[in-house]
Amino acid sequence: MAVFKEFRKGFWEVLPPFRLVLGLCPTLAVTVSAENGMGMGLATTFVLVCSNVIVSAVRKVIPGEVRIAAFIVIIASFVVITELMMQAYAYPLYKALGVFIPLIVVNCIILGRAEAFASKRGIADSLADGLGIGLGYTIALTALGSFREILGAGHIFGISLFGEAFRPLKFMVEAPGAFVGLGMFLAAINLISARQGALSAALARIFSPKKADKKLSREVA
Amino acid sequence: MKKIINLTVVLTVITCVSGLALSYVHKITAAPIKLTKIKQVKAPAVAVVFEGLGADNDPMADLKELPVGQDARGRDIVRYVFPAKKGGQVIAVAIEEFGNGYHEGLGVMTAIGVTGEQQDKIIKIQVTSSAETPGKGDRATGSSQEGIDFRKQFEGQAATGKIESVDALSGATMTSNGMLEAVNKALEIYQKNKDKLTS
Repeated sequence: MAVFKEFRKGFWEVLPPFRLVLGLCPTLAVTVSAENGMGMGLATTFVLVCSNVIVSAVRKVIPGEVRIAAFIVIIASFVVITELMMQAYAYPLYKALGVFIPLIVVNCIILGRAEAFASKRGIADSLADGLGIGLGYTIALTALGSFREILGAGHIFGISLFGEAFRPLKFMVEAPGAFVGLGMFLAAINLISARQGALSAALARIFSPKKADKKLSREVA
Repeated sequence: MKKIINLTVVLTVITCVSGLALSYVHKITAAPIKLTKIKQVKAPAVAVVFEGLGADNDPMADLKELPVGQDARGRDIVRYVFPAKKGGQVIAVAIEEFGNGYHEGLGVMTAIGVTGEQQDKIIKIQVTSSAETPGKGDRATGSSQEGIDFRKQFEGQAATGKIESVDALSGATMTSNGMLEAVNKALEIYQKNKDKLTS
């Protein structure tokens, strides 16, 4: 179950880019539509999973002094593979994402996971970690992209939602809208987290009042 | 010393392996990438020159490659021909060729009729790539500010010979001549490969 835990944490506990606030540059830049967000997320997931697995597999033969260089070579190779594949089989998406595909190389999430997780853990754990965080990132980017696309263009995945009468808030699909959208998402997620803590504390007090009181007095102290 | 050798060997092995992997991926994706790019770049021009013909095929899917000679380094120069079909029969072909205007690489897509009224006649031309001066030579590549469409002169001209001269657009003489050059090259390809193209 440990493997499943590594997989699951990417969807809430360390959900990038909202909880694990890394990889913001592509997040802000490409989430003008749900489709772009999803494409970027999936490309990142592919690179993250592959690099996590390889880094984990070779972690014992890489000397500490050159580990960052080695990780970057591994990550860059997978990014180029992704780039070539997208050019061959998903050209419109490749055009839409533009320079942000090669820039996956310097996405902090990937190097961060390689350095903080895959270089210390087994292959199965690293695979689960990469898959969980990658899919979490994909969902997050798709959600943010949908939010901006719905408000800014009145459609989602290119399907019109409100018909002709809807006046889109163009601001949301432009650069400042990215900051506003991301800010709203962060606020919402922080709010839920705060409430979640309060909720679980309340539940704990009902079911085991003594323990909760002790914990509370400790916190106050 | 031992440490340095160890570091060097590990990094070299990693870079070699990734280099090999990349060359392999490049090998399998090179052809599809080339094709995808051609399709993306040429599709709009082909759609314009075939407009109103009532073709029922996808000219991008049916494209043919024709070797038309060799460049200075001995590599084949390839030109792409896009057929328009109706009921499985080729009704027109679009050929892209290049001429020299004020700058090099003036690309022109020429559509030539194969059957019916427009048999062996130029249907329409469209400029695909141009680095001509905006507001000067550039005016010949589309409809100019004065409302003159230089491209119209080619429409209906016979595709069986060479077009000797056109009325160049004033201020855009070199561009006009470059376009004429490109169209004549396309006509030459059409005449030489007619059997291959229309089957």
